[in-house]
Amino acid sequence: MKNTMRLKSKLARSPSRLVLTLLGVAIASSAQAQSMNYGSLEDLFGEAVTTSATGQPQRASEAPAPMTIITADEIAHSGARTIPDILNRVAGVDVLSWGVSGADVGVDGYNQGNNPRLLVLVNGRQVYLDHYGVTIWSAIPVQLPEIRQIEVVKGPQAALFGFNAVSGVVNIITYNPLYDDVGAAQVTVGSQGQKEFDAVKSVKLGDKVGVRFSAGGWNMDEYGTASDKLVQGLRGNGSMRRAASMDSLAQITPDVQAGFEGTWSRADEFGMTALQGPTQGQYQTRSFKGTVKANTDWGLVDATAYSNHLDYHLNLLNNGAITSVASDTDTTVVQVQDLVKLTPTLTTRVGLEYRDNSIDSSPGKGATTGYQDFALSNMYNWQASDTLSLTLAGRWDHTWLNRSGFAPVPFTTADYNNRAFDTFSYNAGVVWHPSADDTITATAGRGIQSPTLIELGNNTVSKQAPGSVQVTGNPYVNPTVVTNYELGYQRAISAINGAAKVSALYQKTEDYKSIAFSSIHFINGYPTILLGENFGNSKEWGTEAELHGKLGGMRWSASWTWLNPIDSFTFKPGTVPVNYQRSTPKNTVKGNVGYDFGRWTTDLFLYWKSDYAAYYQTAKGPGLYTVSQGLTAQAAVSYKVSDDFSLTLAGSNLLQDHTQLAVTPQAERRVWGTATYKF
Amino acid sequence: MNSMILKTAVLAAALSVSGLAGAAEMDAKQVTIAAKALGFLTTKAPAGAKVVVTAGAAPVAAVQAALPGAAVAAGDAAPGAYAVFVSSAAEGKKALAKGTVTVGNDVACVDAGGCVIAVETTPKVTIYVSKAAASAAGVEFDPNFKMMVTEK
Repeated sequence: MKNTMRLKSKLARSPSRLVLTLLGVAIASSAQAQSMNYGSLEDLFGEAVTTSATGQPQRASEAPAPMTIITADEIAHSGARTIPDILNRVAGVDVLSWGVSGADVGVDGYNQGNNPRLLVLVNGRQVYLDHYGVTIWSAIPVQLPEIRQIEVVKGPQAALFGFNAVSGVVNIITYNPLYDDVGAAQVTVGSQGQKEFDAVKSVKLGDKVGVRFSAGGWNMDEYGTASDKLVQGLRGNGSMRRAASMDSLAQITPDVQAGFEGTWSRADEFGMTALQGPTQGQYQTRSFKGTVKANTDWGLVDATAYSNHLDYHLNLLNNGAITSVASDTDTTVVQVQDLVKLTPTLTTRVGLEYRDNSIDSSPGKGATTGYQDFALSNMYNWQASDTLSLTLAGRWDHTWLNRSGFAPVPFTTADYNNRAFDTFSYNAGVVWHPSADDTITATAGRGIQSPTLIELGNNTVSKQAPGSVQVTGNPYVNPTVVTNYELGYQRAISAINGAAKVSALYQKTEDYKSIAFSSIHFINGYPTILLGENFGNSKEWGTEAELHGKLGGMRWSASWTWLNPIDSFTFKPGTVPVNYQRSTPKNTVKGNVGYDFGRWTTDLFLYWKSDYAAYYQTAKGPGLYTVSQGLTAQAAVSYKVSDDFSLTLAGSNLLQDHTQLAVTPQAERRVWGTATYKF
Repeated sequence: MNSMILKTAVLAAALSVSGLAGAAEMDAKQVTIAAKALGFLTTKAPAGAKVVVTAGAAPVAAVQAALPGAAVAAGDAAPGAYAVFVSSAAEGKKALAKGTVTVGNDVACVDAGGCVIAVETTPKVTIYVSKAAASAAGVEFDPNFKMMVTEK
């Protein structure tokens, strides 16, 4: 053993080691964990660990970003059946529930239908959809029992994650197929005709290959509250979800791991369009992802390639009637990164990324519009002392548009193929522990929100019909730039076995872009309505206070968020505008208390939002609708029948028969029961 | 009372001069964390691996409880041992020469290259790793673990 180790150590000093390793000639007798073993590291350090702040493994308390990690236990305690319902508990997170499953999630304000500002990932793979720039939460091919933790990072994180990580990032981390054993089946039955089933199982093939399978779905009726005939028609199909995935990881050599993941999902639900009108959307996704991770002399090298495909069909309100739009998009991403500890106190990450995003033309078929992007990123994390760390990360993106297929109008093929732009994003953070109980965090970040494929794409025909107005994407729309500065203070309080947090932020949004059906432009002689345009700037001040603790079997938390956006937009008459000053609730208060005793687990979540007003389209056109301030409750009671079998009774919107959750028609009280069997 | 304080101060000073300050016996929590840290070595402990605890380093029972698959015994560093819990850098260096992973709770032991691992559990879990001692013992750690510990 000793000789083997010495030989290995000697090889480690030789560049030939990588070559030997890649050829499978490594002589080490044991496996290394190129993939991070979240469970073991969490068990060791006694707190959640993450890579979502810098790309480097870190304790949550040391991450140089405002971050909340929701654990699998917290998900189980909540009784929630959707990811937005789980995220709703996080301070600073806003959920707009349009129906029984359709929802948009915002961080630090600016939430709306089709919120494009929050990047959502599953194990680093984007599940954010680039057509309208939206996350269809029901279409995420993950079952709740396979989630290890959900990481919510607030503020721009574009230097690590790239485009659209501007208000924040939600990274859903699942159990590792090689390290973790997971097996669970759940059946849920509830009001609104809810029938739901999911199952997750990991399988070990020897000690070097692990595979995790999951599948699940639901059928639910949409709410039956009073609404106009158009909404009744859009709600009529209810909510349907089906999803399946397979994730695998293999230890190829002691220093190399390789993984493959395939997913499929289908979601039909009532929701909100980018034009803030009601829709019944049908979404079908599939993805393939391959990863190779290697421990080399030059650091921890991680190569990932994935392909996402989306087919969508939207029934939506247009000029007072329901119409349909449909198309499909493809996203291909190749990422390579190297994480190196240069010295005991200095770590760097170098990343390269190539991205190809495209959408097929609609309604005229035969053309494809999109963009390619090349990015270079670099991060440095310096542990200056035992109590002070500094992080600096930057990313440069070069983006160029492309179009193939029939010649478009009013823009030409050259308008697309000659258009390119460069963007720079950064993250900087200081984490200082002035005492064992106190942490001060200062962060600054600049993120880029790319134009969506619909905003860019030429979705029209090759020849204009006489007397008609063209409705088209705009190759010259600029990306939106979001810059955020935040100062936070946290103090551990042993008396409550918890902590208090306060933070303040200033955020500015420049070159705000959206689909707004602005006034008619004449482009190359054609009267044209542009789908993508820039309308000005916005800035926001905000503050947040949070307290959480645990005493005996009781766990509790409380938070207050104050946000104050100030818009400077110029919308022309006829536009479908936004008004974030009115649509962002100024104050949100959340409280959560749970008590565990014996085989019982209880959980109560209350949240209150101050009144707000948001634009909503009806058959009469867009109007600003007020949502009164209100208190809403979710609750769950679980009983553990045995170590493997538990029963949960849960509900939402519990305080009233009908609750106005958003500008869409009211929601009904919901209750459901879930049986969980672990195997 | 004053006499007692004086005696305590003299004893503390004497211990400090002799280099034993900070080398208090590991408590059960430190032993548990140290055992978990050993799990991040790339070469896992075989079943029945020999683990030695030197005098005053840690309670043998606590080490056995933290490493239930190992054969834990009190004694001096010996060839063939997978790990040795030590109370001083001198003991650590002696054990390293025998190709053994050395574990303690004194950061000075890591600084001196005598301990591969030293653990602190208050105010929070902190793990120190000596690169020189790890190299001397011929061991490597999980690369993700290395990103999260304080290397010396």
